[in-house]
Amino acid sequence: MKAVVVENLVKFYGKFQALYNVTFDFEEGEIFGLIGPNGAGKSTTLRIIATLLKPSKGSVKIFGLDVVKDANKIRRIISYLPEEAGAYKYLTGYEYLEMMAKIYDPKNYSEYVDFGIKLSGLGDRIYSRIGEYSKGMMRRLLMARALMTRPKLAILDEPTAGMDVVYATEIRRLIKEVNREGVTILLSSHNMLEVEYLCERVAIINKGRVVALGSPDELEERYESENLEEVFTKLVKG
Amino acid sequence: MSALIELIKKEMKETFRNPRYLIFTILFPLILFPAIGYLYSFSFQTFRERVATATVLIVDFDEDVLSRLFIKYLNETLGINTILGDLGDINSSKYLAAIIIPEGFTERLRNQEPAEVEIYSRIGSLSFTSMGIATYGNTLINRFEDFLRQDILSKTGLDPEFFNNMIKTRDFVYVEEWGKTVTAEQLNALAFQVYFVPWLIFGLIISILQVSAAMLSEEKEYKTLETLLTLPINRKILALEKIIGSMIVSLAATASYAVGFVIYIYFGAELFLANFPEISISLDYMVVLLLLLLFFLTTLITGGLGLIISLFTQDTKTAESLSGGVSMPILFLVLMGSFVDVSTLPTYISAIYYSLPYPYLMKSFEYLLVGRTDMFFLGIAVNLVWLIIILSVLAKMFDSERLLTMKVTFGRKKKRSEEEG
Repeated sequence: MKAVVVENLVKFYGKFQALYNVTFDFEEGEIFGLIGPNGAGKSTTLRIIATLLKPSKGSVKIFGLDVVKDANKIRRIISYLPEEAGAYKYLTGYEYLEMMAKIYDPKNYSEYVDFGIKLSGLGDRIYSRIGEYSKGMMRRLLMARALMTRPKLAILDEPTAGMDVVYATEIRRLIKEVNREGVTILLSSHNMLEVEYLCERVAIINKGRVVALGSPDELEERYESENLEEVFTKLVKG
Repeated sequence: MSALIELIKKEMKETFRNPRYLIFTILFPLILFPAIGYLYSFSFQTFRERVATATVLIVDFDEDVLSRLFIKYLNETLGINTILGDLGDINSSKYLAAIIIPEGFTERLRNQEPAEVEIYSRIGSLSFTSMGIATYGNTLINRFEDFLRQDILSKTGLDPEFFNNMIKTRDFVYVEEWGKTVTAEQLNALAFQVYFVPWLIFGLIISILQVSAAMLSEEKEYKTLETLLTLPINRKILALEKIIGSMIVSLAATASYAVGFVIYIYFGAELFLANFPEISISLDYMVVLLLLLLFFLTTLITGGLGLIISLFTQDTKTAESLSGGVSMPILFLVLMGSFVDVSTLPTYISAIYYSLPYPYLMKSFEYLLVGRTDMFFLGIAVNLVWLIIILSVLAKMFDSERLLTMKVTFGRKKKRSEEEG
């Protein structure tokens, strides 16, 4: 089954057009990457898929559900990690995960919380206030929040942004792990190595348009490049 | 030294190129004070016109030399119209003041004994300008006394100082807004409530406004809002959660207000009520409940306003600035209530004033002390209407993507975080 189908997606902010007929889709169980330079329209696309923004034109379907008409149903099966996410500084990491888990399942939330604690890898620091966390710890907590409910689709906007190599590697391992458990992943990243490592297919987006779509290998072959970074540079500069 | 100058230059540029600073620190006072000045001058002009064309009712039970001299003095020396009437006319709106000259007035003064006259005035509401009207009759008596002392008694060879303060007055003021006649002493005691209490309430309202304005802007500043909006929660529930949060702030403020009120009554108002039982109401539970309900509704509206502010702001600093701006019109209402007799303003201004939610709470102690429970009911009704409007606006805004995209940029280049991805 198609996890996400984006067709002729257009988005205006007032008079400014951010997206021009963006079209792509990917299957359930896939890790799909959306890459592009700053201001290309990646976050706008992810936000529309995450039901935060409404399309100006075109359609977006998540597991057959329409993002406008079925937004509430979609929110039950997705989770979204924004690029610049934060958490409540006066809650402990545990309280934060517990609150989020209870929103999804008020009765059997403890299973989610246990999985979230495991995913976060924060150990005893999970009982410390979030305000005391480092940036890396915060990102791990947020990643755990996004994945602990094993959503059908996890939308991760720059999941390793601002993290050091050790944490970033750990996050990538987590993404692979939950994907093996059946979570479909849609992610955006500036890190081409990360995208190449994680994603089965990618869409390169530039100035609000999809300029290339395929697996990293296909794209490297098509654009006669040694790696995805070169493909990206050729497409964006060219 | 040059480093200091460069730093000061930088400070000035940073400050004066910030439109937020210019709007709230420079522009608002430029609007606020002239507006108050206009209303004050309008009210004062009305007062002057009323005095210039005033008709004073004289109820003359003396009908002797000095009472007739007094009337002649008013007519010929001061150019004031007088009408002779009886006690039934003293509260008529046709007269600016009514002066009752008792029987034996002339006789007592001839015998060099103090004589007492009663003065009845009529004002719309208690304010700095209306106090002038309240003391108008008294001013006439003082001037007549001066006249007697300087122009008549000095000619008779009597010591003019002997005549000093021989005409006593008992002043009564009919306050239209209260529907009551009070003594000058009572009016002065009430003036404290009228001028002081609104400032206390204003301070509380500002703090509620700022706390509520920070509720959603904190979610934006700490980047928790986007996550919240993608959770399986209906947006109306989310709006309700914030409103309940604001309501809890209001309830806490109401509880604190109730405690403060009890202490206030114990130390101050009870003394007032005991001294002036004829104009006051008994502080039964129903009246106190009405006051607290009015307080709760007004603070809830303030909380709602704070939430609306927070919809437009991306951080708490901007939310605080914006709530500072919103507090200016509320401050304007406080000043207006204190300085201006609202009843003397054009009808449409009075109508606007009383259709807003804040004047009722500002004047609540005044209403309480003079027993205007009907104004509590009116205030509660007006506040309920505003609350419904504000909740509807909030529900509508929470249900749209504008919740994320709306912002006040204060002239900064519009940041489109949405477009950056």
